[in-house]
Amino acid sequence: MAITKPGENRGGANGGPQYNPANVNLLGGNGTNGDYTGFKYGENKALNDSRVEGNAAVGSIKAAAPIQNPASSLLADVTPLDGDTQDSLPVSDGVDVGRGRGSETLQGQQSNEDQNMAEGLYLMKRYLPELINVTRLNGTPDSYKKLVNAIKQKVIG
Amino acid sequence: MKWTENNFFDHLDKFGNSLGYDNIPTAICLSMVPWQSTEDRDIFIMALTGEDVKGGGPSTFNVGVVQ
Repeated sequence: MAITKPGENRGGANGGPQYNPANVNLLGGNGTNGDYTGFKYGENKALNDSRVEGNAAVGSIKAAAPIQNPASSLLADVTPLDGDTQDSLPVSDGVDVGRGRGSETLQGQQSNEDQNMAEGLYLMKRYLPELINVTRLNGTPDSYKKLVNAIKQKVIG
Repeated sequence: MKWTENNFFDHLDKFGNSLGYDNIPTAICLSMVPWQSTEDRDIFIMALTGEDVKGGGPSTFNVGVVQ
């Protein structure tokens, strides 16, 4: 008994319209769907000629214009360390350079030094008892003992 | 107990004597750094001061008394 198979329809060339040479456009892509908007030879030449003329015109304009440094134009109105601020004090006020008062006018600098001194004194006071104890260890160098004596003098005064 | 190197007191000895007695607070702070070795510490001191490390070690031990 002969076995009959259903018609084969998987893959391969199926003889569709894409196999007809009359349906293939040499320009490819959108050339076959009506969206192609290419120019004909004469139109392309006219466009190219106008582009060349435009480029030449822009080049002549640029050549005639004076060359200006952008950085110099930005800094034209700035006079560093010489101009006055809005409260009529020089911008160099509080600095030991230029016009205005010197660094002695800055109150924070002195207070920072005082604060550092206070912190240092606190550290020395805190560690002094243990520092003295270590001087009694066997092998403690003289340089360390002299240092502890100096710390002791600073703390006690 | 004996004096040992590479601890806070040894660091303070080296930093205090190398930076000078006027900079003892700074020396205390730098002595708190957990230095990997005394060589690392001494290289730092030499880079900081531009001079050899000052301060003693066990080999320079001399009997001294705190006043």
